[in-house]
Amino acid sequence: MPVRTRRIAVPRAVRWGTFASMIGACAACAALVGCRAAAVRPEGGVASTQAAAVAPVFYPGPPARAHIVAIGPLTGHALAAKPPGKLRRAVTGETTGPALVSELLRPLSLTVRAGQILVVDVGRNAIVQIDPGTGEIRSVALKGMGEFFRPVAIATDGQGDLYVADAQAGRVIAVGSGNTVLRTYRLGDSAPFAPIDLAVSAERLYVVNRAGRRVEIFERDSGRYVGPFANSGPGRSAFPVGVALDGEGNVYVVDMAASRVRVYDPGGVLLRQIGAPGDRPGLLAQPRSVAVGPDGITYVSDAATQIVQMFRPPASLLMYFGGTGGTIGSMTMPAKVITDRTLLQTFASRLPAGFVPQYMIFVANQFGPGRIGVYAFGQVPPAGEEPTAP
Amino acid sequence: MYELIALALNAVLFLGMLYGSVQDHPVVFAAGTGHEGLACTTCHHPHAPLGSRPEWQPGTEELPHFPYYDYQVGMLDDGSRLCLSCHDGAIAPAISMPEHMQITSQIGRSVSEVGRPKYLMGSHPVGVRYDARKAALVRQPGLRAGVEIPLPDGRIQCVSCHDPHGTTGHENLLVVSNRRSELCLTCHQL
Ligand code: HEC
Ligand code: HEC
Ligand code: HEC
Ligand code: HEC
Repeated sequence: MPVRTRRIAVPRAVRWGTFASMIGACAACAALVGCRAAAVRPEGGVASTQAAAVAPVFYPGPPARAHIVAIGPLTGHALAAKPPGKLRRAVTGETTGPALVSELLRPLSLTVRAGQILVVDVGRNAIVQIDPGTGEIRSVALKGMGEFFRPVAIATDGQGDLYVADAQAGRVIAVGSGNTVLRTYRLGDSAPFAPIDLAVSAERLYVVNRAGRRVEIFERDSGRYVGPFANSGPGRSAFPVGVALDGEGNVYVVDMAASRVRVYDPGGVLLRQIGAPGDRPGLLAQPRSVAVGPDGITYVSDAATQIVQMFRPPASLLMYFGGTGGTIGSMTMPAKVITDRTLLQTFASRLPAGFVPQYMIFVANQFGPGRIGVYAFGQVPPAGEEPTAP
Repeated sequence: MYELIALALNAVLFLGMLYGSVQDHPVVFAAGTGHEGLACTTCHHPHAPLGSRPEWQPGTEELPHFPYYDYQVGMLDDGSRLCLSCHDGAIAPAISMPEHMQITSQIGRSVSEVGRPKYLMGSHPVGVRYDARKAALVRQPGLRAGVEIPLPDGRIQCVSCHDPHGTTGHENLLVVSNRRSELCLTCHQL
């Protein structure tokens, strides 16, 4: 019967054990952000359960040459400062303002700006900023945005401005460096608008509109609405949930209903499709988000199979990572995936020796022990070759 | 009767997938349900006989199947996780877990809507066992209303209260209308 699997074939008790030991280890070391234990080197194999919890995980596993290394979840446990105490809260009323938060609840989307990782946490109904260097985590208050603000997606442009989508209020806001609102993007009064994902180019803002089941184009700097993107013909995406751009300005749209990613040129002409429905490598079940690396590799996260697959143009599968094995590279209902080069230096010391990184990959997991998965893309040079600095 | 409908639905689903047409021409649900317009394969992911071999993972062994909504003992089942994968506040209205609810590590915590007082029910435990020996619970859930309340593995899951297909036509895709707390009373006795 071609309905979903109801049962899984993985030895549960074994995995549960690994998982439980992981929690124990994490509680002991507080967090992997800024935590030296995260840099445990893989040589000599896995010595203890504690080491097993924090040792980097390589993808693909041996004997293939690794291209992705998982170095542990980025969580907010490692607070550089304590959250405001009872007294302080009573005096300053610091409950909704910028406050230190202890952990992420249900992150959906994330971006990197000026060395900081900004996460949209729908569980907290807030934008949470994490300093990957110190592990400090705090919520971001936007000036002029009241408590009715419901962020669900976030993106950055080349100038460091932030774009935040509020699906409930039907608006996207552009936020400048002082966390002040620069512009608001809306559709006309009557048009239903529920923005759920964003991609920014030098001229345009692409917005996935859940209510209209289509992608909308705005002029980035003026805020003017241009029109729907690729909204007709056989190449139309019926249930778009994610959008991303490559270096040439081509637009990648995740169609969850069709289990495909469609690639269009900036004019909306369908160039190619990635994936087809299924549960094997190269196929997609419930694709949730797409990202394009600086090298043109396309990353697609899948909420059903809980992996990220990597394709090179036009659509060939390179490899996949994540899954549910209970390791630090595992994923639990992944949502947004992004690639980033700016934080390479910050994470360099935590990468395993011998791995030559090219850029970082961050995955927002809705649930699970590690909400933000941290990975590096690169390679282990063949024996005899000197590793070169990134 | 229900079996017949299920059989017919399944035939549609199967044929649809056989000809690869379902995902391109979505089968439309009855109008007015929150899930109308969702293709069957959005939730019923097919099992594929083939895949492609990853270039960077060469080998000759059979390509793996990735389990859908893989879960561990005592957690929300794959059906509930399916719901939560879309009901995240972006793709569909959020059903948020309270602060310490980690679906991979805990069970039986409430489901509640964060920041939305509209969600009258407030919260209800999900993932808990339905233990019919308890005095407050009905011996055979559902018999009162003449419907069957699904209890996968004997537990309360989303599908215990919601029919994702909206075939019953009740508000909020409920399996039983909750007018005069009818839904609640199919499982609880006062
Ligand atoms: C929103 C997600 C969703 C969509 C869309 C959906 N289904 Fe289902 N379906 C489910 C879930 C969840 C179950 C399991 C119900 C249970 O365990 O009681 C199910 C069960 C079934 C069953 C088994 C009988 C049963 O109720 O247990 C059939 C047959 C079926 N679906 C057919 C379809 C067809 C045909 C379509 C397209 C018209 C469809 N479904 C669309 C979620 C969905
Ligand atoms: C593929 C994504 C998807 C999945 C999977 C999914 N839903 Fe939904 N659901 C939606 C969308 C989209 C809506 C409509 C939201 C809107 O337009 O406000 C919705 C609406 C609803 C509503 C409100 C219906 C109403 O009449 O207002 C309920 C209840 C609901 N879903 C329950 C479930 C349950 C239970 C499951 C799991 C069996 C599930 N959903 C799985 C996408 C999904
Ligand atoms: C014990 C029964 C019960 C269980 C279990 C349950 N629900 Fe509900 N759900 C309800 C009722 C009753 C309502 C209508 C509440 C109202 O009228 O505000 C509702 C409403 C909803 C809505 C609509 C909310 C809105 O704001 O429009 C969604 C979506 C939903 N449920 C999803 C889920 C998901 C996902 C799960 C599993 C994690 C789940 N429910 C489990 C009883 C239940
Ligand atoms: C599918 C069966 C089912 C339905 C329908 C149902 N419940 Fe429950 N409910 C349970 C079970 C099982 C428990 C756990 C009882 C226990 O183990 O003590 C529970 C527990 C509760 C509790 C105690 C919560 C706690 O945290 O201890 C409340 C209150 C409650 N239900 C209210 C409701 C209301 C209100 C409705 C209608 C919207 C409802 N229930 C519908 C099965 C159900």
